[in-house]
Amino acid sequence: MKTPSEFFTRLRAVLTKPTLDADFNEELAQHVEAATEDNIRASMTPEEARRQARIALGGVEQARELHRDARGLPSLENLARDVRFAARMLRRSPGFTIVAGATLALGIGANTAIFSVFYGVLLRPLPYPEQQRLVFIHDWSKETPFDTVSYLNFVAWREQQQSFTAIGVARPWQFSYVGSNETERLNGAVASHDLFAAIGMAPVRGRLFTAEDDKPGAERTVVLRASLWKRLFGGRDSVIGEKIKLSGEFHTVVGVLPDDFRVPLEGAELWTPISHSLSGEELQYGYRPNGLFAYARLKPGLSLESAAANLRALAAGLDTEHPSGGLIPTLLPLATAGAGEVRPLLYVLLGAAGFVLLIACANVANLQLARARARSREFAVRAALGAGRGRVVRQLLVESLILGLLGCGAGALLGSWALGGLKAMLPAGTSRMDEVSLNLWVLGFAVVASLLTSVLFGLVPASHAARQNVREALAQEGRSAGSTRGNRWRAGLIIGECALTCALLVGAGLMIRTLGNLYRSDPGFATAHLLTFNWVVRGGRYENPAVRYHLINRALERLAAVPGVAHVGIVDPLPFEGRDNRTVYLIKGGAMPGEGGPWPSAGFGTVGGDWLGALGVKLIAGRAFDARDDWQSTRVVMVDTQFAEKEFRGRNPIGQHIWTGGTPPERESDWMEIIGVVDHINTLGPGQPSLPQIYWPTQQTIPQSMGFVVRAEREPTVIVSSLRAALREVADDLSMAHVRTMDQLFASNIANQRLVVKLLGAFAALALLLAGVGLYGVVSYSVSQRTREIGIRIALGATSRSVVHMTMQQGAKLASAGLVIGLAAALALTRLLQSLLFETSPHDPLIYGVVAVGLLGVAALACWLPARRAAKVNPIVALRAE
Amino acid sequence: MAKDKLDLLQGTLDLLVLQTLASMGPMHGYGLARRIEQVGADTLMLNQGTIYAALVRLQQGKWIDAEWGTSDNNRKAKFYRITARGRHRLESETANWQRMSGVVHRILTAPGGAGSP
Repeated sequence: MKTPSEFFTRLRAVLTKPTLDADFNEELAQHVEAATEDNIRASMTPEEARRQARIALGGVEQARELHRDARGLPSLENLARDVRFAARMLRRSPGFTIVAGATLALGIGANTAIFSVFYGVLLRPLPYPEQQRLVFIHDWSKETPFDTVSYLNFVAWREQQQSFTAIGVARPWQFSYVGSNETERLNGAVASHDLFAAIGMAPVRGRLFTAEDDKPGAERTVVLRASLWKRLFGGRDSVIGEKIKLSGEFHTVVGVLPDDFRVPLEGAELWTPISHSLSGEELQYGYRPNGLFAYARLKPGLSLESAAANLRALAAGLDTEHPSGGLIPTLLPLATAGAGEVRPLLYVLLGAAGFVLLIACANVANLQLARARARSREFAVRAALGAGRGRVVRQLLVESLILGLLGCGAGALLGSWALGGLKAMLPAGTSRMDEVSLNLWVLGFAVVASLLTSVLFGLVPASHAARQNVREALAQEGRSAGSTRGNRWRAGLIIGECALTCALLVGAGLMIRTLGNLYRSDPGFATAHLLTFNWVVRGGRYENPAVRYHLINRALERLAAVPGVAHVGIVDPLPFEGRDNRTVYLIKGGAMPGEGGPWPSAGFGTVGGDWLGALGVKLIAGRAFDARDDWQSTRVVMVDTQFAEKEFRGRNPIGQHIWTGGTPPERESDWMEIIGVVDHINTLGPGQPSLPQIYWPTQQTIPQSMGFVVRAEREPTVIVSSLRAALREVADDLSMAHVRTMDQLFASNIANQRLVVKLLGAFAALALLLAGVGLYGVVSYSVSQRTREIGIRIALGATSRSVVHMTMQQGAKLASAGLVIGLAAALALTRLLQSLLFETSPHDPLIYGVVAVGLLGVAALACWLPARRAAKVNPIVALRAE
Repeated sequence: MAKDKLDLLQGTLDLLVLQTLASMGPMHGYGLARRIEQVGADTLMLNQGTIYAALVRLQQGKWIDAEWGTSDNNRKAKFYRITARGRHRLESETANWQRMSGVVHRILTAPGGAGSP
């Protein structure tokens, strides 16, 4: 085709085909008429005259064909014909179409859902300008691979660094806001003024912080996110410049940020300058990681690696002045920094979903192969009538393509439905989760996946059909003498299916074992009948420690008096909550850590009330905190058995003194006395580092935010409302948050493993089903092919037992070949699961054994059904059928 | 059919149709076929059906027009007429053809060639 205009002329011709056909028919009729008259004039008989006229024309139908080809778009019209024909063929065998379509839909649906999450969490670009220059900075040490940074280190970095155009920090912070009727808790952050410059986002209204705003004593200011601005103030422009009361202090609203701004957490909706929130202690000693998230923007053209090297050198210099215990600042690209521990999980799930899709493809290819065999006569007839090989191949590929698109449509629907459930199952707080959706990228993925699969499952049967011998196929009246080539393909596909299924089963088995081990693991306390919640006492009069001290004590008393409550205590952080609080410490009279050398570190918690009773933790030595230990008395701590073992090794720890700060204490009275030793509990959850613990009493630390544990006499959820009412009596402007049972906390602690078990289990079950169906199909097909042979065998005296044996042997060979390959692949692949396993070896022989037996069992069932049919073959009927 | 009849060279039919229309004025399909057969004096093997494919091609290039009219013996027939654009193309194609056949002739009659005396 030479020009676009010609293309359009031709396209118009395709669309106005009936008119043009009628027009040309008339023209042809005139032609034949005129020629006939001429021939009659040349003294032919009328019949001969008409015949000769047609011969000269080269055939009326041929002339029409030539005309149509020249006029229209032959390839397009052929394609349309192929599509119509394929649709008719698929409609004619609805069983095949439904089974193949559903198989593909399952494979594509699973992949679409997983890929949506994969794309949203790991691939989707951040909404910030030049996001590839954005980095997240965290501290690394041998004990804590992922730690926050400290304020004083940040200030030093900011002054001395050369690698970033801007560097800023933020600390998640909750504010209370008294709205029209009720106190609302708002999630936000305190941020250094340069955070916004580092992220590079402009306000939609007003301005962002300046260095002036971020100085102690400056007028308090706040920046809102657009969502909050709309919710609280209806998006009113005049709010800029107004004062609003947050946590008891008036703040001037200076600007509004777009909803895309999600730093430091997804749910952050307001930001205030960090300097107002810093305590004098932090400003003086704060060289330890202290809950700050650091963000920086690389200078243009600078690589992440060189920036990291620069910052490490800088930090090493600082470390000699203020030893921090071997902390190394580490840079991550911001785009994937939030994915954290979900990343290996997503890779595993995407891989598993890919396996399922491959198995689905193999099954559909097998179905197509069997169907192509049954249709060999049809192809032979078409070839005999002049259809070229290309034509037959194209016809079959078009059928596959239509099937693929059917599967794609159904799969996308299935995927979007599954995605809802999947999102609910992923660990809460996974970054960028809320915007995961079926977008164009994901749909593109589904379409590409289905096109690829159609080619995959269509090409083999198509090329196979094209190669067959026309004469033989016609002579055999549709009964094929089993070409070995097709059978080899089918066998290969089944072996592949079994291998993939085997690998998936092993993965699922290992995860199930892991989950069992997690549930069986002993955290050191009884989790049943425990209710937990968080309580934040911050802002206004609560900034006064004396007020807080009495408030906390009253709250403990009131809660303990609620009917149904056995014990009430404070434990912060709550077990399994996932907050990894650590501190460095010194033992009085012990060795001082060397200059720049690592300081010993331990986990710490703040405890109060009857926390031992609530958790059911045993006091091993000394005494528990009591009324004597208030905020004016000597500072005291408790430690756990693991701490005592590590530091005192058999000596009595009671009466010893420790200090938990980055520098030696200035006054003798700063040392804290160890008054008791308790049993060790695993606060971070199974599979997490289990650290020696130091406990401080709430009566001396007087925290602003704390976790309560309530041991109920019965099912704890029924007393939630009375607990809430009791707390209202204590302070009606504060409310309890995150009410969860300890079992729920534990479940969310192992959410990753539970998710993988569910999905991997579902995928493995699906794979097993598909492989079983595939094996059944192959064996029963071969039985129907060999009916005559089996008939002869039986006629010659074969017992039905030996026929069953012979048939099953064939399936068993395929299944065992697949099993061997699959087990070998699993040995290599399950290493990828390692980070998700708990007290389970990726090479656990029990799992491999169970999988082998299970897979062979399913294979045996799949072969036995057709084998039984083979044994019932009536030799007389089978032989007479010839 | 006689074995010594020549198959029409690919693409030359379009040229013949254009030339015929240019010299004879508007004609219908059958007339064109007859005319080309007559001039070809039975050395040319023409499948009359291909004329219509050529006519479609020429219309697509806007080298000819077509409209329904009445033939000499008062029958309805579709008449084709060459356009200005078609005449232009005919000129350049004729020149091309003559150059081409000249070259072919020279090669075939070159000393030592099969066609040399």
